[in-house]
Amino acid sequence: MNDDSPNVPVSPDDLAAYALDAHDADDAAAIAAHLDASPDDGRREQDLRSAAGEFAAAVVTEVTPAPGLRSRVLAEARRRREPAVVIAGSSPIDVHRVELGRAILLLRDLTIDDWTRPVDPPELDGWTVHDVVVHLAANETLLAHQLGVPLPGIPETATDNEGRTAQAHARHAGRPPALAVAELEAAAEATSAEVAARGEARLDEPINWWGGRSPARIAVLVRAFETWTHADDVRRAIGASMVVPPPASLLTMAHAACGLVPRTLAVRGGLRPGRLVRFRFTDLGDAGWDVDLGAVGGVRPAGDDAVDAEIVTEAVAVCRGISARLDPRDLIFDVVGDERLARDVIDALPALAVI
Amino acid sequence: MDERHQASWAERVLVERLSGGDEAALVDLYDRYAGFVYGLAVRTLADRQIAEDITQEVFVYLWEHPERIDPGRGTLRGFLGTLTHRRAVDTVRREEARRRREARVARETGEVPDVAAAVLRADTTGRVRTALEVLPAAQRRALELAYFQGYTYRQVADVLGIPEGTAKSRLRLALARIAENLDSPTSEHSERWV
Repeated sequence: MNDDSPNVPVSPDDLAAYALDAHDADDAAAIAAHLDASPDDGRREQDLRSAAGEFAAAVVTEVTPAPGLRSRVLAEARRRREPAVVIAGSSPIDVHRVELGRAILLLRDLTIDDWTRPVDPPELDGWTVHDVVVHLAANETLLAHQLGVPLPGIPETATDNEGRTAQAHARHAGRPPALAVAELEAAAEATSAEVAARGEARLDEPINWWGGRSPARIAVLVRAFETWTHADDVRRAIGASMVVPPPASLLTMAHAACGLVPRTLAVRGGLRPGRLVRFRFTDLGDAGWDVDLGAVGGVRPAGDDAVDAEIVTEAVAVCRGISARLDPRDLIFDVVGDERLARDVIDALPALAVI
Repeated sequence: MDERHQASWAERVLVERLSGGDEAALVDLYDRYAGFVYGLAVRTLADRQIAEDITQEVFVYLWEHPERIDPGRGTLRGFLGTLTHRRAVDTVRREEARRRREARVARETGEVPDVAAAVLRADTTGRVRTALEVLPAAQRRALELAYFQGYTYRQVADVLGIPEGTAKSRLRLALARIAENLDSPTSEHSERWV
């Protein structure tokens, strides 16, 4: 293999050796030239190289690199290509796709032992990691069904959160956890494609959701929020660190969380007509929203008007408060203005949390 | 390559995020795959410092060139394996060339080279041995030498005392068998998905 002419045929043996990087430099250059001129052989070589990569993926034992490498990688990456600047929250379509994708990648890496570990939220008493994932799959297949893209082979008929989960738990009992992950991913792909096809404008059309009617955008965002929350339940169960959604997703979730605040107050002590609070989120570049505590849904971007209380805290903390994963007593915040009102708002955050 | 070894939907989402410049996607990518990339680099090089450098190169390369990822051609883990292996082998070859130069200088000057500081080779773990057991021993040995120790097929032939053509043929047969083995439900990889 010393002829560098692109017209010289390359044997299957040479292609395989090349795919394993097992030629010396001169031969490799000649084969590379041949592959440039021979698309068919180029594809064969890529398939062989992919097989070699998959082989490595199958057999290599993972080794944890030194802790400092992560920050060095990120610093060098930033130097080479600047990250996108986040100037607005993502569409619920994107938030859903990102959070479902992140959760599924997490679940793919779980070990056999991980699946039987207990999770810690009190309302999930007795649940294992497997139970949580079946719950996620149950609700994602429900969303797919309600969007008109039902997943084949899903027998559950209940359309409420708890009923659907109970049916799915019964079906998945004793079955491989991989089945639940596969159903979750298949449903996520179907729902993601469907809402993307509908587009932003049609997200306001109502669908049947958890026993009522709800705009599709709400259902999709709830599923994203729920998936992030339960993925963190899984992470705690296996001893991994909890994660924060990407900034563009967190912006959208924080906005939604602020919008829920009047509803939480309605459940815990009643609305407060005429009272206005402002949230400022330090982990979102001080982005914020003004919330009218007397009107459900009364939320708008923070302005300069006087408010009764300004609550300065982290968006991730408020989101975890809404999902009952952070006790309001442990939520750190500063207040400018009516401290009692701010305390009431914070204390009411978990009022709407469901399993 | 069957459908099972194409990138999954969740992997494709991650690639889309990388393409969009979402730095959190790079963090997700690193947190999920750094152990694999670093593990492969250490196995090939047995030098943790160089393995760290290669790990950094691989992730920064993907951040700069996410368009190079073809989700239809294999899993993201497999693609990372390909990138890592090529860089590790290049490093092995450079180190071998350097070692040969130093040995020549040492012979000329009477100095003893620090062999321990040269390229090291990691022991094959039980996990690797288990996966390789599906191969005939002769093919397995050729593949180990080429893939995990970075040998050229000529070096493989030399080490095994076989003709070069036979060495290449064994590599091809091993790779073909590996492709079949990837579909085996008993492989370590499939266990990870349980």
